[in-house]
Amino acid sequence: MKAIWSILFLSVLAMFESECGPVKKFSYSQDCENRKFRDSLIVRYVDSGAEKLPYYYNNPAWGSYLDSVISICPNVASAYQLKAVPAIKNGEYSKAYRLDEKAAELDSPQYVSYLGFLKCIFTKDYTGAIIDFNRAIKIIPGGAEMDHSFYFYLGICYLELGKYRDAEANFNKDIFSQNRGDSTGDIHFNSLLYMGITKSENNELDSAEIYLKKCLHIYKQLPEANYYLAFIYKKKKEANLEKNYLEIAQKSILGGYSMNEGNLYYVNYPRQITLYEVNKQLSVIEW
Amino acid sequence: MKISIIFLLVLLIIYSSVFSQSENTDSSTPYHTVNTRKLIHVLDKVFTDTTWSSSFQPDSVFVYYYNVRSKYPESSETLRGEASEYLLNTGLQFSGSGYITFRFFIDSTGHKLKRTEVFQTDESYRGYYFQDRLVWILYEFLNTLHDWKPAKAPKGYPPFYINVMTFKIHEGNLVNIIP
Repeated sequence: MKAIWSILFLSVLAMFESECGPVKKFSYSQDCENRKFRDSLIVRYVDSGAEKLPYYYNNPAWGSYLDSVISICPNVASAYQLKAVPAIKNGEYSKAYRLDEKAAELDSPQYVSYLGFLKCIFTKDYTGAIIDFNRAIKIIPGGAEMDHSFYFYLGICYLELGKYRDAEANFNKDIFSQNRGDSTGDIHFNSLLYMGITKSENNELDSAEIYLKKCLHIYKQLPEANYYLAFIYKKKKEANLEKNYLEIAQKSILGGYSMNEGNLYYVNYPRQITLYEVNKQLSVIEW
Repeated sequence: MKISIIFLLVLLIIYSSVFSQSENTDSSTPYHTVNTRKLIHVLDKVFTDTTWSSSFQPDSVFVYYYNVRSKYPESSETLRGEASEYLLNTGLQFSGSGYITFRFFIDSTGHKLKRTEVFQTDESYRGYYFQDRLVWILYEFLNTLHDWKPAKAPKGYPPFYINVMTFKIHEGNLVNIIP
């Protein structure tokens, strides 16, 4: 009797399969080349999965969701980049860059400049970042990363390497990319800040003062602009002005003002200061 | 005579073993003795110390310094200057280029806990090992920093957060500090 029931069940199953057709088999070569299919994996495993986890990317399960995407389609660049997020923020650079380099290899227009950004801002690898941003400029001329042109980051890299002429040339390109040569056009305050610091490092104090004042005209509380302007007045032996700008920097930091860059919580931007440096300078003003 | 020689030898062994243990456990050891200490390898992880006394397990802590806005309250440049001076005062010279990262816990009193994980890479971010002595000196420098923001956590949650500090080394010299 049991055998009869089994045969009957299998026959019904066979009928059902023949009606509905065979189950569609996953094919890497076809589906993973399809953008829509790849995006659907991100929706399923990231938007509806990893991003719903408590503690977000610091949840130990975060990587497993991205591994699911990668195991289905190893060519989804964003899966590698997302998997690297906790590693770059938490100091595991070997792991982070292995993944981010894979993302850049799979989707250069999207991730080569991101790689340069990580090297410039996170791991202070200025030589490496210059290579990546020059590559990014060839792929996307006029491109931007994290709200700034590629030239902005190149300027920072050259500034930190002590190559002030190259830094200035790149900050000029960055500024031109924003105002297209119109001197009345809006410019990001941090472009002006870094140009001011570059001029100051190059001992062009008057020019540095002009850029930092332009910067403060846009964002008068910016602690770094006040601090470096005070430094110029220190060099010019104008102690009253030095004290004045240091006090503004102090008040601004206590009031919660900062460089307003998206990654400030994770990492200090080059030349970023804290209350410690301002107080220290205030304590040693030479009258 | 034979017995007293054996007795003296045993005493000598015990003495040397106690002496080396005290060097291994004291985190305030001055830099000139740190070369005798060993990093602890546990599976694929490396630690300076694995001491842990809280009822909350270390792997139950998911709050990082950036979640609680707690980078060390000095600029990277200031920290680099202080650490470079510390390194210089050892009178030792080092080689190698890359990154040495310490990952550690800060408690509710703003103290750094002993359990510290170490990551090392070369300049191309591949796995690498610097001279142990350099790692220990930088670790001792880290132990001189005392202005960490205390951790705050609701009742029932681990009263710690995780902080990270990386030393960027180029040809044996300290060139930058992250964050």
